[in-house]
Amino acid sequence: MAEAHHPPPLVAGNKSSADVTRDICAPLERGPTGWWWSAFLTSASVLALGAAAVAYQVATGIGTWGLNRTVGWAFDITNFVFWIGIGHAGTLISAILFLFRQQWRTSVNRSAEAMTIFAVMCAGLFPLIHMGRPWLAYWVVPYPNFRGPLWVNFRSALMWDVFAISTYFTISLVFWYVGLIPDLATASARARPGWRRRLLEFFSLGWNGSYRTWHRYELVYLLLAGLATPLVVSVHTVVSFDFATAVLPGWHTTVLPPYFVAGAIFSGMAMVLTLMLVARKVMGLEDYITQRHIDPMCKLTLLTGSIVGLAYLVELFTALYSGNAYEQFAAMNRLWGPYGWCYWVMIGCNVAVPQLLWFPRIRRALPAVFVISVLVNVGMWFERFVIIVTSLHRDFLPSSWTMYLPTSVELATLAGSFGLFFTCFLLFCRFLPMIAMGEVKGVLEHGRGNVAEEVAP
Amino acid sequence: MSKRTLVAVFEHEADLMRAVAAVRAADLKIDDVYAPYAVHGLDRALGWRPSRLGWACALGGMSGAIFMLWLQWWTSAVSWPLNVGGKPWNSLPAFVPVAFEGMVLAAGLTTVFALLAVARLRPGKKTRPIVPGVADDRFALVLEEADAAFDAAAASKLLRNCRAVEVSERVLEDEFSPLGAPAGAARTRLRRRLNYLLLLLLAVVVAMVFLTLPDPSRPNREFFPDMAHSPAYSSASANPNFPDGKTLQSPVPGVLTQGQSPLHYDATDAEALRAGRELRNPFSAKDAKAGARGALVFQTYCTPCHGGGGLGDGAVALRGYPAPPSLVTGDTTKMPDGQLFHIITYGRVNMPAQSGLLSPEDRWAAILHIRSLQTPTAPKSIEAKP
Repeated sequence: MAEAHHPPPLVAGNKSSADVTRDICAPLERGPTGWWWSAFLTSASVLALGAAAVAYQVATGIGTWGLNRTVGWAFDITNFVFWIGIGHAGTLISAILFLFRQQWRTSVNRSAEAMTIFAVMCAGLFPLIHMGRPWLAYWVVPYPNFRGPLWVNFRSALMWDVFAISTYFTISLVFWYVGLIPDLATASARARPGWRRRLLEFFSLGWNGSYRTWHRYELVYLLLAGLATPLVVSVHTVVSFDFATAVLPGWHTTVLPPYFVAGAIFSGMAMVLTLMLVARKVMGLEDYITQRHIDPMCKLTLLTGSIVGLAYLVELFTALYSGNAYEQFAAMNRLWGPYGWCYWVMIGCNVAVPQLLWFPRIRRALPAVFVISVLVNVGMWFERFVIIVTSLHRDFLPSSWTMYLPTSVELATLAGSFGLFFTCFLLFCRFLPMIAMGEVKGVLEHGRGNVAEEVAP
Repeated sequence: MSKRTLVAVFEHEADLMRAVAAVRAADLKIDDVYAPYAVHGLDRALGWRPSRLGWACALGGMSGAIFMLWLQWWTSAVSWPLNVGGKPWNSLPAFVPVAFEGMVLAAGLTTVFALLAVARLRPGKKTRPIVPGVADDRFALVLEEADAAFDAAAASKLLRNCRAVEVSERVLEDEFSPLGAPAGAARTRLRRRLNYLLLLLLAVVVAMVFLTLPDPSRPNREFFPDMAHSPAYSSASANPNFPDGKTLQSPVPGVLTQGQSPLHYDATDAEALRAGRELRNPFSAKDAKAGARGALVFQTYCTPCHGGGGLGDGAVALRGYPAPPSLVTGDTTKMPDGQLFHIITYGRVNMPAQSGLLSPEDRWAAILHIRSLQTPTAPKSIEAKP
């Protein structure tokens, strides 16, 4: 029984602080492995493919997409919402779980935050390309200009998006960097003299471990977590406003903001799981990312997945209860229309499959967790596609009903965004400490419980 | 400025905590503690007050929110009021999301920059660990030897009792003081370098002023013309895309322009008779406005040949061109309006077609005037008309 009350340690192998430093800095100090190279070259080539597709569509125009007069948003906005959602789990782990004093977050928060930043970068690309003339993207910034001055329309949900996403990116980056400073100092103290050491030193800002600084740093970290928590909720709420403020059956519902936030955290959790399960194997971090970390992440996936499932039911109920023929048609078209298979892929991957995580045996079977996490991401991508395309393609006017099919350019752009994401993530694994040493050292069991007996005179 | 200190090194957090408690009990002054991570509860053990950086956060957040609210109100309601869906200029509920984002952004950035400022952290600052391993797994407790009464030997013994692995007396430079500024010599060197850099920059700017003198005879370079120049062909310019090389294309034969109604008649006398049977003047004789217009049209286009009174004594006829028949006597008085319209439109004998010059409305108005000339009570020339 005693064992039941004393959970296994967060970090396995009775590590000391010195062990942590050595283990986490090891990938930075040894040369890249074959695994790393093959992964990097694969993702970099996919990125190059995406870059070529983007260059082509910017040079030619967005007529290269499969959009038409009825379906004006499809792959681009689907990918945008998908990537933004991925980012949300990083902030959940780093900020919300910090406020809840969840110690297991320490092993995964750094990578999850990096994931947030890269995912938001990928997300930002799509609206930028969708503008058609991305070199005029600065027009979304309200600055005094010689066009009137003509200002942006602050009453538009798309404008709120600009501010929400850019704030989210900036705050996530700052949060991540502030967390990195002490670790950069640790890594630079160990690094061999050379450009890498100089760079690490430059960015460690002269951190010397003074507790006067730590004391302030703790408060700043808490404040940033307190700011990031409402921010992350606001970001996906604003993203959902892009749809909810439009008077289109299937979009115009009040359930959308909580539904989007839950879905975002759901997909992000799945992405964290996907990445962490691979990274712990490839980077040799099995002792740091243990069942104690994977288990709560699985439970969060299950929880958010069930909230999303509830939201799907609420959506259908609203359509039924509204008594509005258009709402009911939109719902039926979503279920049984020509894109019905997307809906059922979404239900299968997002609602049915995560229910397996109720079973501890499955949560412990890491290959199964990996497969589930990948399926959840597939499902969440389809969710956005279903919301956007099935609501648009059959509008109020049957004569304009049409179908949407992505072109090869759009598929290459989507693939390229994955290439960008994984390229950035691999570079991060290689050049920065991917686990927050300063935080893990604070939750080690080594030299804590048994010190009293050792020291007793 | 430098100070004399006693530096003790510990391997375990618990030892450090006990040492801190012991040192405070002995009433010795703790300068600082160095640790590889934020030791939980150490601030309470040291008796330090909470940081006041929360105020920076609050201030930054409030400024951000207020600024964004103001900006949205000013741009939407004052600088360029734009009617969007009939919403009020000051659409306060719509301004909430952006004001919120502005608050979070300003609060976060202010807090971090305030931390960097008060902790004297800046990019490129040299890191010199107080003892090796303090960034790894060692803890260092620094006691300040404030005055001569400080008993280094007793303090060392106290620290070693708390399992300090190493205790040494050190003279620390300012860098390690809580308000550590760069040491004097280093600061002077830095300032000198900065001055050289600024001087060089000034020289470059001054040189640029002379090297790039503006040429008022040439237009400035445009970086973002923002559609000031249209890529479309102008109507009179040559165009390689059409076989005739013109941009402005003539309409396809048979096309009707806007407002034009088709006339399905041939230019023969029989067709003129048919037009007389079929067409009716859209204007009535009582329409003063149409009458005035008809008088003007008649004076402009008909007088040269037909004469002001319609007698066929126009200036052209007087010069020898075959005179037209009188409009006020004979056949013309018997012709219906439709036939006259046909004649004006398609021409007859020596009279050319007027359809290219006169709109259908003007032709009907001119007929109205001819009818008024034919009425004996009517004034004989337009000068008499008001």
